[in-house]
Formats: sequence, C-alpha cells, structure tokens
Amino acid sequence: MELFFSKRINVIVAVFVFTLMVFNIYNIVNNTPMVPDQFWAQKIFYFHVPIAWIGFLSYLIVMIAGILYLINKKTVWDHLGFAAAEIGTLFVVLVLITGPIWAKPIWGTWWTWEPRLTTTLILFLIYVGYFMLRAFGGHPERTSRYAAVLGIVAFFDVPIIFYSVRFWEEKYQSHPQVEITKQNPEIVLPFLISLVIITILFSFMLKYRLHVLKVTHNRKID
Amino acid sequence: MMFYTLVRKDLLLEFRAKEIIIPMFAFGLAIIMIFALSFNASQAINHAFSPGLLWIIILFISSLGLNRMFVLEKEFDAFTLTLAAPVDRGIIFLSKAISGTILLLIAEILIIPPFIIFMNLTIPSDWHIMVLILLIGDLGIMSIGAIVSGLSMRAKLSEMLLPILFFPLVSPHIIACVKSTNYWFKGLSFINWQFWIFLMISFVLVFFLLGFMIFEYITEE
Amino acid sequence: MYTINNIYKSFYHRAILEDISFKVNQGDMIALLGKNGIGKSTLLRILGKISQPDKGTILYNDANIYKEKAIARKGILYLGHDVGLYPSLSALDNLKFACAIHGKKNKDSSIISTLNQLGLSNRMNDQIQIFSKGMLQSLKYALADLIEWNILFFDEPFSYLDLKGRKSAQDYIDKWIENSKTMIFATHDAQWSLLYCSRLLLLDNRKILFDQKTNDIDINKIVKILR
Repeated sequence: MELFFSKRINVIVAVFVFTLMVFNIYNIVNNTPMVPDQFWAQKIFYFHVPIAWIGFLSYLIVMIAGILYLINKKTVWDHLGFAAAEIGTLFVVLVLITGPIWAKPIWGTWWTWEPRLTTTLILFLIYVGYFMLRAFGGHPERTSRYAAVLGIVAFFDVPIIFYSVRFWEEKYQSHPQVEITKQNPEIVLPFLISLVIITILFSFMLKYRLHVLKVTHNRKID
Repeated sequence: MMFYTLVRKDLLLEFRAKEIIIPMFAFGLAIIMIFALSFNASQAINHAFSPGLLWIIILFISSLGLNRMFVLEKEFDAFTLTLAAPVDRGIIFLSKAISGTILLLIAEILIIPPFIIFMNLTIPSDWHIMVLILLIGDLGIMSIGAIVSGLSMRAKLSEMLLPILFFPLVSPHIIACVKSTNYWFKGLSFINWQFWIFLMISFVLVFFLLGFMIFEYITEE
Repeated sequence: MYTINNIYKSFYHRAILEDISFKVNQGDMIALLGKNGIGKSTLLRILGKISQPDKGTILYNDANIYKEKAIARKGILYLGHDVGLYPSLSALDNLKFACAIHGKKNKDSSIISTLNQLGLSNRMNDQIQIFSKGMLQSLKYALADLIEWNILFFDEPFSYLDLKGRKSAQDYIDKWIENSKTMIFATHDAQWSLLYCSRLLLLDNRKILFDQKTNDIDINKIVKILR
C-alpha cells in the first residue's frame, strides 16, 4: 500500500497543476478584455464553460467505462467509471453554482430554466441517483454492474433531455457560451488556455481518485 | 411466444392478487384531491394546470405500480423460475414493459373520469388523439421504468431508490407528454406540435432498444 | 454435457468460490456437500444462470450459456432453496406457467394427475401462499415431473418434507435414476448422498476439496470434514 503523494512525480505534478491554476486566474483577471455590458461578470465564462465541457466529457467517460466493464468485467473500468462520475458531478455542481452567479447580474435573476442549465440540473439529479445506487444497491460486485448500466442509460438520455428542454421554453436567451469562433481572439486565447489547464486539472484529479479507489479495493480484498 | 406467456402471467398475477391497479387508482385519487384542495382553484387555473397535473399523477402511480410489479417477482424468489428457463433476458424486459403499460392504461382509464369531474374540465371532441398520446407516453414511462426497476429491485432501499433514479431519467419524456397534451387541450392543430410526438416516439424507441440489449446485465444477481 | 471452467464469485469483496472447475457427464448424479455458507447454493445459482460469476465460463452441450441465445439453455431445470413460484397464483396456474416458460405444453389433466400423486390435487386451486412449507417442497417435485429436463439442479431436495412427502420425493428420484438422468443436489445429508448419488463433490474453503465416485468413499471421512 502506497500513499499517492509518496511518489515524487505526483508531488511535482500537483505543484505544477496548482501553479497552472494560479496562472490561469491571474491571466483571466489581468489579460482579458472587459466586455461591454457585462464587465466582471463575464470573467466567469472562462471557468464556467470549460468546467461544463469537462463535466460532460467525464460523463462520456462513465459511459465508455461502463460498456468496457460490462464486456470484460475488469475492476479498473469500474473504478474509472466511479471516479469519472464523482469528478464529473463535482464539476457539474460548479457549473450549477457559476451559472447563477453569472445570471444574476446579466439576466437579473439567479435561476432561469434555460436549456443548458436545465439539462445540467437533470443530469446532476441522475447522478445523485447513481451514487445512491452505488451506496444502497447491495453487494458491490453487482452494484458495479448496475452502475455501469445506469451510466450507459444516463448518457443515452442526455440528447433527449437537451432537445426537450431546448424547445420547452419558446423564448431563447443568450448564454455565457457564445459562439467561440465569432469571438475576439483576445477572448478566445485565454479561453483555450483555461480549457487546457482545466483539462489537465481534471486528469490529475482522476488519477488521484483512481489511485485511492485501487488502494481501498485492495485493502478490502486482503 | 415466450413473450406472450410472460405478459399473460403478469396480468394473471394482477387479476388474482389485485395488488397493483387498485392501489394505483386509490393513490391517484388522493393526489387529485390534495391538488384540488391545496390550490382551491378556479376553472381557468384548472384548465391551465391540468395537463401537467395529469402527467404528475401518471408518473407517481406508475412508480408505485412498477415497484409492486418487481416486488411480486422477489416474493418466494419467484423470479428464478423465469431466469432459469430458456427465455432471453431481452424478452423478459419487453414483457415487463408491455404488461406495465397495459396495467398503467387500465389505471388511467379508472383515474381520468374522476380527474375530469373534479377539475371541471371540458374535453375537446378529438379525444382519440389523447388516447394516442397516453399510449405513447405510457410506453415510454414503462420502458425506462422497467430498466430502472430492474436496477433497484434487489437494492436495500428499492422503494426509495426507484423514484430517485426514475424521475430525472424520464423527465424529458414527461416534458414531451405534458407539452403535447397541452397543445391538444388548447385545440392547436397537430402540425404545430408534431415535434413533441416525435420526441416521445424517439424516447420510446431508444429505451426499448436499450432495455432489450442491456437487461442481460440487470436481471442476474 | 455440463462443463464448468474456473468459476470465481465473491460477495462484499470476500471470495466465496475460487477457481471451481468440473465436468458433469450424462447420467451423473452428483451430491454437492459442504458446511453452511460455504457457497453450495451460490454455485447452483451460477449453474442455473440466476447468479453471474465474476469470472469463468459454463458450457452446456458445448454452448457457452453466457454467450449463446437462451434457447441453448433448454433442458436445464433449477429448483432453488426458496419456493421459486408465485405466491398469489394457484398451484395449477403456477405449474401451467412453469411448463409454458420451459417450452412444454401440458394438458391440465396431466398436471392434475401429477398433483394427485403428491396428494395436492384437492388444494390445486388455492393460492400457494397459504400452503405449508412441506407442500411447497412437494410442488417442486411436481414441477420436475412435468417439465422435460436433461439436467437438474436441486437445492436441498428434502427440506421441510414429512415422512410421506419424503417417500414420494424418493420415488421420483428413483424414477429419474432409473432413466439415468443427470442431476446435481446440494444437500447436508451425507448418508443419503453416499447411498444414492454416483458422485460426490465436497466444497470447502472456496474450493472443491474432493470430487470422487461414491463407492470408494468412507463416510467417516466426510463426516469429519463437515463437522
């Protein structure tokens, strides 16, 4: 049994990721242009959108890991699915927090039933169920299989959720994420930097969780 | 053939034990009463709210019925009889989804007349379209419902886990059901809201196919 | 006809079965012995495709029962420790459904005559939830008599039976032995196993401790292990 940070390389990577995040915040605060009408509120766009993208990506990972787990029942796929679900849900919670923070000054209200936010909320609730299934589903060997199934089912639900809430409200509002290609390069570049850094952060967190899950699993088996 | 045998067994079980439809009906009536009393509503408000309310009732009673349907398989370990028999798991899924739909339709037939009366509704003359909406709606609810009940039936807190998993997953379908019911109720022509029917149909297709393929991994301990 | 290869199964991260492999030949009558909680029932449930093993394959007539279509499993009958029938259906309805689901069409009259042999025909229209445990156990024999099977997995064949019930149960088993049917029984009755079964599998500590023909086994040895 080995602590994650007892490996020198992991400490170095951790410090590196931390530095990158500090740089990212500094970069966004100082080196991005002020958007008229939005001012400081617009800065959250550089976090909100990459986090949302990575959140959805991690649910894609949950589905793929689920399929692989059902095919060959390797514990590592189960752990990958679980870890991705956890971090994905954390990111989705951040999306649900940053969204209203942006919405309050721009739309004048904390919450609107806007398609992307609503999809995110429903997805969050599905994953609350996912963790409850993991916790109360019975013996862990079966629960792993069930969680894999739920991950697949949830992913197939996403496009339908999106289309149903997209046309649910007739009026259509602007988003934190406006079409990237039409943006000023002064905005696009820091955005892309932020996206890359948050992806690195995500992979590091995933690696950490995978390590912890593996260690606890091995301890239970012994 | 096996499919027919399984559906027949589910219906026979309900005919003998009467544990599903009557509780669904009683629960549905209770919800209608609670809503009617708590909103103390005028007819205009009732008209605006009733499509949504109808589908809330259907969703609640279907989760009740689904839970009961799968608990019946657990008693006396009766599910082993079907599992050990040479029946494909996909067929078991289809039979559960279809017999669930039939039971839900019967419960709806019972619950809709009191609903109309208590809410003081006037029903448009083309009521057969509503029957179609109910049918597609029920198929969608029961397809995802059967998957989720299969996942939760062996869990410690199955009766609690079922709605927690079920409601968010089925929510896009319910939105589509409410929307189409609303448009039909307001008397808009089908062209204006065909999108919602297509969305419902695609939901039904996706989850019938997915359930058929994936039930293999759900049924076994 | 039934080949079990490297079956692993664990519950709550505790291994119950480890690397279980054996072959069942046509006409084998196997007694599966072992202490309580050693995994006899779990193994039978895996063989009946009710429980999924963590690893391993099972071949039935050269068909992998986890890969092939369900029809490849025709001829397998599993009778569990629990009743395995619907409590709110009558005995007759239960047996009719069981036959239909195993792909066999039986006339009502043949079901009734089987129930008659077991002394249950006067209760055949009652819901089985009001049956006694012994009557429910007899129903399993009725089921096994009505369905055409090639291999039978039977968990605790004699539990809850009174002397008369045990007698008629033994009559059925004798009949199956005569027809050289293939059967696996999970049981605690070592004496009965040595007397009737042709082969004995003893599970202990997650593994098959031994797998031998019954005619060269000393009963004291088994009793010592089971104690």
